[in-house]
Amino acid sequence: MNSKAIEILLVEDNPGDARLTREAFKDGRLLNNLSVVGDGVEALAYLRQQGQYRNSTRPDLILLDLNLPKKDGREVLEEIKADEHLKRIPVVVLTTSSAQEDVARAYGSHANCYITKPVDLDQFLRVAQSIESFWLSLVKLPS
Amino acid sequence: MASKGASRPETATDQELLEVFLQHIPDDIYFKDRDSRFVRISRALATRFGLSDPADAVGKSDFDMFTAEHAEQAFADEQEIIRTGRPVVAKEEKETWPDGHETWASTTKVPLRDRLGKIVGTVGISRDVTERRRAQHELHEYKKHLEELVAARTAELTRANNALASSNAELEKFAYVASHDLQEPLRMVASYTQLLARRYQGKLDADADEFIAFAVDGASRMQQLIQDLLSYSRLATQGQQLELIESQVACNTAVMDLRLSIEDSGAVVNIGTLPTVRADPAQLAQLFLNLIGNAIKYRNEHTPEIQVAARAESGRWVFSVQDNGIGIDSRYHSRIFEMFQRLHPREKYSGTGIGLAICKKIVDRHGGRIWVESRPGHGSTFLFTIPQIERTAE
Repeated sequence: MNSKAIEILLVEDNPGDARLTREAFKDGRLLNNLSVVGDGVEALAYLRQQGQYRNSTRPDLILLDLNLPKKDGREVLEEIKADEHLKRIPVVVLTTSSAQEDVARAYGSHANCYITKPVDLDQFLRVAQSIESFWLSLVKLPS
Repeated sequence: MASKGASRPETATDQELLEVFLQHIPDDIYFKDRDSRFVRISRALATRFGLSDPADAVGKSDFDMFTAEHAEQAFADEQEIIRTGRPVVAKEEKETWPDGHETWASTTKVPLRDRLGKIVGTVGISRDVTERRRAQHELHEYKKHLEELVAARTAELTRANNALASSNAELEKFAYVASHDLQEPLRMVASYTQLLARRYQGKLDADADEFIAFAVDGASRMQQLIQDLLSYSRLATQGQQLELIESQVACNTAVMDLRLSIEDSGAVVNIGTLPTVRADPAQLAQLFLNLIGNAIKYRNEHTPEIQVAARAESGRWVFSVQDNGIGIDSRYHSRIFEMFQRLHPREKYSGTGIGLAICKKIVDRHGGRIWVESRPGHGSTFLFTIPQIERTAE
């Protein structure tokens, strides 16, 4: 893997969804390296390079599901955004929930954007492409 | 021969008239002295007392004839009359006879005066009203029984109604939870069959392509069904409060949402003047959307012409959505409002058969009625009612 590959952390407990996201980014134009963790506790351990994630790479982008076991995505988001070392990593909330309170709470916790997973595959692939082209090539992020 | 005016038979004296009266009137008639002892009684009363001659009662009193309870009450009444001169009129009293049987009498007693007006006793007449009282009592009991029956039946109906309402609510909740939770695994099935199609279409063999196509089609139809089921169950669980709204706005919203299919079909939609109603704005818009959408969908070779109108009729608004489409056989006029009822093969007209069920549910929630007037080949008119807004005093 090229060292210049873009690092993406996907926090997603459903293996089917994780694989689908992986497939979607595999088709992407940019070289990327997608890591997947299955719950909120693991996500924070990964980001803080704790335990088995001692050697993890700091991601350029976090894709965060909201409904997660152990520690749910809402709490993970709050902890990331309260953490001096992590808060500049863009967090894209990618979830099945379209509930207004989830949307409001996510932005209230400084999520960088909120996307409801489309039901249709083609649309889902387009969403993945949009995330890639916007967050990983269009916007200028702090280095 | 009847002579002019009332005249007594020549032979009859007052004494004779009184005798006839006492001998033959079937009521109990009695004259009593100041101590409530019988002075004269009618034959009818003597017979009741078991005396062959009314004269045998003279000098006796109620205490000799009835139970003490009744005798004491009669005695007290009579002494009161003697003391005050005030009569007792049509008093209903229970008489308990020595053999224990009870009767009821309507009794009138007045003071008996001598020529100087001094009260020397009482005179009374008692009519047996046992039968009438029994009938009255029976009627009363019967009425009470009926009332109890009605109350019991009402309670039963209320219970059944509540049970039905709660089972309906449960069913709606179930439909909501089921359709919501089914979406997730179904999204997996649909996504991966679509992914299979994208990646492997034409790379396996003709059979595989066909199988994949069926799987993709089935999954996407099931998604549509579940979406529809979800929106159907949301009607009850997530409806907004009814508020005063312009139905014209709701109708315009529906037409805006339909602009693509209106353009594609070249449909002409005419909207008449529509009233202010009390409604859920989103649901009313959906109602128009489904009805106008159907009017466009079930068109024939002609350009669809759709007329939306409303007229006032005995306290309600009758809305109509009229088209010049294929029409519906009268056999199906009620069935089409049921869930998942479709009249046409999917290849010809797509859909899950839930649109009109949603319409019906919306109209039900607004206290109205929905029906269709149509003949095959002559277009359809869907009509629904919404109660008019009660006018408040100004």
